[in-house]
Amino acid sequence: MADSLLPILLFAACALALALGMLGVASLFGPKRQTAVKQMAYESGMDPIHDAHRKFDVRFHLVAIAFLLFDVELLFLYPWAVAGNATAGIDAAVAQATELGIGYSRGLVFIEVMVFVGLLAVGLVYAWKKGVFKWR
Amino acid sequence: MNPFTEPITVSHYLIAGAVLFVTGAVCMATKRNALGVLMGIELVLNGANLNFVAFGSKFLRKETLGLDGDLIALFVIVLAAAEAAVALAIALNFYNNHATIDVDQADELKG
Amino acid sequence: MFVESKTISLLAPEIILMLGATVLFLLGAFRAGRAQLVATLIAYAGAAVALACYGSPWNTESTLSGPLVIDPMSLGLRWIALLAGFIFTLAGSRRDVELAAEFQGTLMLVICGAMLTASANELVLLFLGLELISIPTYVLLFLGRRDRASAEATMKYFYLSLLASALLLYGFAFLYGISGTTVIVGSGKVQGIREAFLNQDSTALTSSLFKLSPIALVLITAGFGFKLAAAPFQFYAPDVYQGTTNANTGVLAVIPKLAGVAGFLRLALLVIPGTAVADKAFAWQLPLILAVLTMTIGNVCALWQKDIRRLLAYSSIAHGGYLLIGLAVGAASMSSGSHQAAGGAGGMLFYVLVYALATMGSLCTLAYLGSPRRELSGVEELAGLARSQPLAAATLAIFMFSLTGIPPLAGFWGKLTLFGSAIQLSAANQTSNTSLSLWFVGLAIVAALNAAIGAAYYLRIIGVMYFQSPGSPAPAAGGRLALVGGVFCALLVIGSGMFPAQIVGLSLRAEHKLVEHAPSVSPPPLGEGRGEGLPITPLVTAR
Repeated sequence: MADSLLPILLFAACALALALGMLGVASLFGPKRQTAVKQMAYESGMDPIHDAHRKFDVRFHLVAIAFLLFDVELLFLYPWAVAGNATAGIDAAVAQATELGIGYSRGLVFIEVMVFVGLLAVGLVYAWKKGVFKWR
Repeated sequence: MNPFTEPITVSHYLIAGAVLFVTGAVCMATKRNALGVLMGIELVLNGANLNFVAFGSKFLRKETLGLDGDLIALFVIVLAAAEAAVALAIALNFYNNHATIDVDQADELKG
Repeated sequence: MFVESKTISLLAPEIILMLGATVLFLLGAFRAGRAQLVATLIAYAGAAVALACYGSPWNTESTLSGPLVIDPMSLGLRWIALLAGFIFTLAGSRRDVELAAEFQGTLMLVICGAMLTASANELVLLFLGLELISIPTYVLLFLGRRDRASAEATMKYFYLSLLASALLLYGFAFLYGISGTTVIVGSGKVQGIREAFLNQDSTALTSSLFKLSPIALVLITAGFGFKLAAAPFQFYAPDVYQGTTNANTGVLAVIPKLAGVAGFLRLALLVIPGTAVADKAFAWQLPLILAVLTMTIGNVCALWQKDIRRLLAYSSIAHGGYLLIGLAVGAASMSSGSHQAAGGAGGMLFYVLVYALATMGSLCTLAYLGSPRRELSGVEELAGLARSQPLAAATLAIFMFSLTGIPPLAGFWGKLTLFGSAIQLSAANQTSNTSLSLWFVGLAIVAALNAAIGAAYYLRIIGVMYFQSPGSPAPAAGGRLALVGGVFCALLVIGSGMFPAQIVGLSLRAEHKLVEHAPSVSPPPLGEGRGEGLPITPLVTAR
């Protein structure tokens, strides 16, 4: 029981040591030029303390949504990347398909993924042309 | 029976999924903020996702069902993201017209 | 299950539409202009040519390939969806130039989703097809108008539709858990959901899972019922239809109905025999009671509507109720162990065609009568239309007569097949199952009463058009193409009313192929398919 917990304890200890060490080294050697702006908490360039009902720019949302979409779409590339090299991955499927005489090959899978990436690229072009990424 | 020593079974996940589902439905029914309602939807979708993954796991049946359950979960996550994107546009449009995103204000069409 | 090159070739119409939509979005981003209408029509024509290459639905055999099934039902519904896309393109052809390409592209995606739903044999593809309808529909509603009413309508539709999708997904999760597969109809050694339900083994470890099947059935009925605007999910329709444009109302009233019918028939009808083991009557009583509720609510509330889109919304609810009769008949027949849908599924398919033609035609004509600035909305705005716009008035009158169910028109045959299937089922079970027989006689009587109530408000519209003195004339600036679309639909309504036998024959053949169990398969079944060794009994012998 204790043996199996040892790696976790070691991991926790290392993480703690690394975090404390970095803080300590920074406070020992780092320059200390504190200004009011630097003392503020960091919140993506916005004023961190203000009225909670203040409105902020809708362009934050546009960029965030564009990011979210492209980020999440990557979910589909991940299984493809994993299956590309795995033993029971695409190669195994292609071998089985050839045995059964089915029109299925690595090329087909590649084309499918490229169509997907191409559609994403078209989406990017559309968003760009519509001025989503233009800040002013 | 000590619940802390018993092995976790698929039923536990199903119950967790059902709790998520009900929480989400209640959240949808009671929240007045449009984005709060959207959060309720996400909970419901994730309840279903949890069910898919639990049913697809090898702990329910002897044999494994492959990756079908996990793949559906992937698709649903992407769909939820797409829906969130549309939801933002809809909420903004509503805000532009009503100066609020309180869904209780959507009560003009009736008859 | 392989998505092989043949599967992809079977998706050619959808792929063409998807490419068309991509081109349209790019056209919209770079240069708006008349080019977009030409591109749209080319894309639809290309998709139609590709669809025609799969042969006529009248003599297609069912084929499974990957997650797809190609059978008469899928081909027929795909043709209807394409037709709807074409008609709504015409209805929305005259719009402010700014977002016209986006409207057409989004509409094309909706059509693509409906076509995918029609031929899905996989839970994942079915769900994705439904979402490919829903998500662009939200965008369409958003693009329609930008005023207060439109914003409210979009918001309502968005949240209710999402809730329905989530319920459906939760139901799918139970189906997947019970049967252990996402394939709906299996083949050879690959077991599908249908086979899992038919061969359920009471001694097996997973037999307790089958107790979950009524929950799955209720959730799925709720999800698809939303698409049909069936009770208790009918209340969004009037508000949403009223708040958006005429062309969008058409899309909302027709496309989700097609998808709902496809989903009900492909999935719910096949799950029903399995749920019937637990409780024989529940499987058909649920759709029966929903049918009665839905059509009564729709028809009664439509009586005092003054807004034309609101009236058509209640009419659409009522027709959703009629469609559910078919499901109830099919369910009762399937759960009694005969594995025949007793004309219910065929009636549903024929009725959805009839309904779609009349509804999209009338909204297309209304779109012509309005103008981009001002939509036509009050019933009284139609007053005296027979004198100012005789052609538009005549087409509208044809659609209203068809929706009422006046004999020479298609609507009559639709109601006849549906109500007739209920009465036949009742007669067939008169001695063996008296309570079922009584339930269905009652259903037929309620349906006939409802048809009579429905006549009142449809004929009121005709009366306003022909017998009231004109007020301010309708602007009639929706573009000539919209009127062309309306007239085209009217011709189809008359044509299918003149020759109903072929189409009813096709829909019964589609039903037969749907419940039949000998699809030819491409690719050939895999050796190490899941559920290997389970015997699959043949369901029906050819009629």
